[in-house]
Amino acid sequence: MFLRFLNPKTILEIIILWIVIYRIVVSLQGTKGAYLIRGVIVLIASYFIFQKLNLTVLSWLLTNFFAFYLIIIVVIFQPELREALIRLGQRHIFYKSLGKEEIEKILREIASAVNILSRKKIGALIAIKREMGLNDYIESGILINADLTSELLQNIFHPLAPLHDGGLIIDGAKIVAASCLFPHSENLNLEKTLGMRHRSGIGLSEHTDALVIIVSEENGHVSLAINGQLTGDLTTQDLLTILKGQLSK
Amino acid sequence: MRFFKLRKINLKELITYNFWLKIVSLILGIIVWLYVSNEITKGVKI
Repeated sequence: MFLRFLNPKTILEIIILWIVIYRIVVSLQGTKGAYLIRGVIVLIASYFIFQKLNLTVLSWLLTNFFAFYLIIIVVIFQPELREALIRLGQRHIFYKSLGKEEIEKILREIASAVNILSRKKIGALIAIKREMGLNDYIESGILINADLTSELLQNIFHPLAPLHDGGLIIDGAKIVAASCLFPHSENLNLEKTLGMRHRSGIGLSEHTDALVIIVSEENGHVSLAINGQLTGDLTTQDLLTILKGQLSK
Repeated sequence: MRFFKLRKINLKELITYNFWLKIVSLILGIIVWLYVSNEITKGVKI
């Protein structure tokens, strides 16, 4: 039946649908919205199974409750859906909204702050948002929405500052939130010597595609967590090079 | 998103990155298309 409809127009329509669905799914990954996708998949699968088995009552219930379910998920996941729709028009946050020079300026600010925090042995946990939404973690902290500067970063992580505990989230040229709670890593193979800050950094990088910079308050060492992998003892130059490489992708 | 990465085309990564998400999205896309197409055809027949 499907092959009968297969023509260039159909293929184009399906490709567009595929891209839209994929972008929404990627944006929702790591947020509460992921459950939304699972729920929709379960409902669709159940609907087809009931149809195939000719279970008319269950099919009727599912069809009628589906519209109701859609309204509920739109209300519950409104922030995630809004973000997903905004993301549809963006290819890459750093290339779409910021120029190359701006990116370099931001990375210099981050590297400068990290360098000073490292020398002073002040602990820091900085997440740089990429594609995936971090709304769940932003909501757990204190909203800042300020321009990103090295001085502000240092100020936030000062041990006497009220927001120094927890993680800080950077989105583009803005510090979005501080004092955020990041998930702890579930990796049992991590070194036992790693503290909670490192475990949280790795945990966030396991759950999302964010780049997480960790400055140890014990020895001032700078580490970077990407996709659950921790690269430790980085110099400022190493950090800048890796961040540039990652954000240019 | 790596799906659209045109700057440096790495075909292997383009396919393997988030592979299962891409497959699930494609299946969902086809299901949505089939459903809507079916509904439209029904409407035309009436």
